[in-house]
Amino acid sequence: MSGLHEAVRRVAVKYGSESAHPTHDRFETGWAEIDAALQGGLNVASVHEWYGAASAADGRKWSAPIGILAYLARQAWRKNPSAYCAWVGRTCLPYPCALENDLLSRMAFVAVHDAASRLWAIDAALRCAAVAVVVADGSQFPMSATRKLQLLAQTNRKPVLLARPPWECDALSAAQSRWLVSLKTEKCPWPRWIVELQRCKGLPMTFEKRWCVEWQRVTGRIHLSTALAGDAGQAQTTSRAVERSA
Amino acid sequence: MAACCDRAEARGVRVGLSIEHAVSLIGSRFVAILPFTPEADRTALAALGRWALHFTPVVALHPPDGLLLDIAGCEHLFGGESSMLALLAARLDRLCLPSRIAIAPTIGCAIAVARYHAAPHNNVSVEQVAEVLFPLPVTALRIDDVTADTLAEIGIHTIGQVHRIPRTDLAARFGGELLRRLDAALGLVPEHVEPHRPVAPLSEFHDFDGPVTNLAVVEFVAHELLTCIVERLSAQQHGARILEYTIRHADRTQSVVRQSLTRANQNLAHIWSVLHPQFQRLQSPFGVESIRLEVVASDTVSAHQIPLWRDDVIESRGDTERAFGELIDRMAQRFGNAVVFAALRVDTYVPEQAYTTRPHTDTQTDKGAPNQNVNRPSRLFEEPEPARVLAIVPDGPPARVEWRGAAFGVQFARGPERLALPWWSAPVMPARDYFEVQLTNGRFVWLFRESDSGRWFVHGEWA
Repeated sequence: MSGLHEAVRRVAVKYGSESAHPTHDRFETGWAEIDAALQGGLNVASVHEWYGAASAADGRKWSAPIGILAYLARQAWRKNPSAYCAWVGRTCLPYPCALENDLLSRMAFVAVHDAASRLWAIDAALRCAAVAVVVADGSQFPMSATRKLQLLAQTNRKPVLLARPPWECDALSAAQSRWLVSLKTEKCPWPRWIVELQRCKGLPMTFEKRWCVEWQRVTGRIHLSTALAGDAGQAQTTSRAVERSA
Repeated sequence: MAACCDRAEARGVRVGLSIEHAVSLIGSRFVAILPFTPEADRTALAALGRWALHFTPVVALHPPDGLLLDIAGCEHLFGGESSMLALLAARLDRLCLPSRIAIAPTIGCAIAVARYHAAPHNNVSVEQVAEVLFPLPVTALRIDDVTADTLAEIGIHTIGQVHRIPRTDLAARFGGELLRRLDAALGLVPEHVEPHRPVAPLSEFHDFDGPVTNLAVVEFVAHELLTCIVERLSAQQHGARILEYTIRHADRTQSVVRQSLTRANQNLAHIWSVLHPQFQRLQSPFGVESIRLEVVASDTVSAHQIPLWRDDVIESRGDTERAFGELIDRMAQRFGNAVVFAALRVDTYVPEQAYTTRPHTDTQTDKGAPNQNVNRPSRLFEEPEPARVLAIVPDGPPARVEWRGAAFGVQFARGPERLALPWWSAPVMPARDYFEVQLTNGRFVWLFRESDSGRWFVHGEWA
């Protein structure tokens, strides 16, 4: 049926009743507060940059937010589970045992180092109709590369999740959204991160832009932190209560 | 002695004895001794396989002396499974071939029952699989001799005894193969018959009038041969999996251009796009005399509906797999096969051995071990990184960590989780005590202490 929907959409585009690159198609992050702020989730046909945290004293090593990217990749992939997920970049490969079985079985890893090879691989994956989402190491990508990826993502209506080092945070980029991930330093028995939305094209940035997410030992997934998120936590708790009652 | 008849076996003759010993056991002057010719036996088995095509179109050889027949959908033509079994036995008897036959729901069960059950002819229903299999010896599972001997040493002789052992223990002690064989015999994982096809391989050949030094001409001819092959494959609803060009040069040497494809493919443009770079690297200073293209392996492809609007519309799972296969082929062509891979979980506790990488091919049905423990970091370092750790009490959790040139206090530590290889494994790996540790800067790292040396390492992090 997805093929039929696609065909109908193409006819609508042809006769001018619909934009060739719809921007309303979104995938839910599963984090109620963030989905509400983003009006339904992250845009499917876009590049989303996630800036990791520095991981060494000299500041020249960084940790890609792999856990968050793997979680979001699964959220995006679930819209089309018969397709594949491409993970590009040797330095930010996830530990396969931390991935969920369903996603792992549809994952293609491309362990390339240099920026040109990564760009080529992302380009090829985006043009392939069998790939639903691309996660990649986006370090050292210039503005022209991100522009190219954004156009390809729009044309092929697939999300690209780029992991980038923190020192490139001020670099020019054509990505639709830009997120900064930092470590929550307070004592906690499980990993927590602050995710900050720095930019999101097409959305007025009038809402709270910082959230706390945490890794859950039982599920291995990442949830909005309920203990310290304040209003965000309340919103998440409410949505869970609704799910239970339903 | 490689084989003997039933009468000789009744007198104590066994495979592996010397001729003199065997003759002395029989005690008769009238002994027929024939040379052991495995190649001729295999040819004869292939001929018998062709004969068995009377019963079903899917026949596989099971050397040295077995045939596998996939009779699904054919049995009613012979009056049911029992009638078919009787007919097959009678026909083989008429050919003077003593037979042991089993009809069973799984390949593993059929082989085990045919070779090891007391009765020569058996028809096993789905409900009877476990009941019939469990009394049979473990060697009926087609496991290697080392595994069979190890099982015998610990007093496990039958399939039923193997089945009673917890699965995780079996996988840890004997690897995945024993479990896979057991599951296949019980029908828990699929197993397919690789049909014996008595047909000539698909090939095309071109002989030049004289040595051709212009490689553009060679490329053109190679493309034309490929076009012919693809047309023939398409007519058979097949796609190429492995293609091989053999190029003969004027100096009597030859070059081989071989290309494996991730999925069976009959898209001429795609196949040529991955083959063409290899032709560009071809060198022939004395010229090319002939070129031959052979389809080394092919597979059936599902019918492909031509899309109405654009050629990239995915309509079916077959289209998805085809498109994905072409993507992997292009990436492998550019970066090499080692760089483009899938990951598969492995049943072991050692973190760096808990997964394996493999190329993407659709023939692999193994989904890997289930995810038994989700408490694993999102990133595992390629090598454990040494760290200096201060603990308040001996063997206790870390209190201070020096790692990558910086010192950190510890806010929270959970552990230890002891991970060790079984004592019988080789090489022996010292036991490791893993801790989940939150450093003062908020990072959550996975630390371990080697039990024998007491050295500490950071092995991963929740990034």
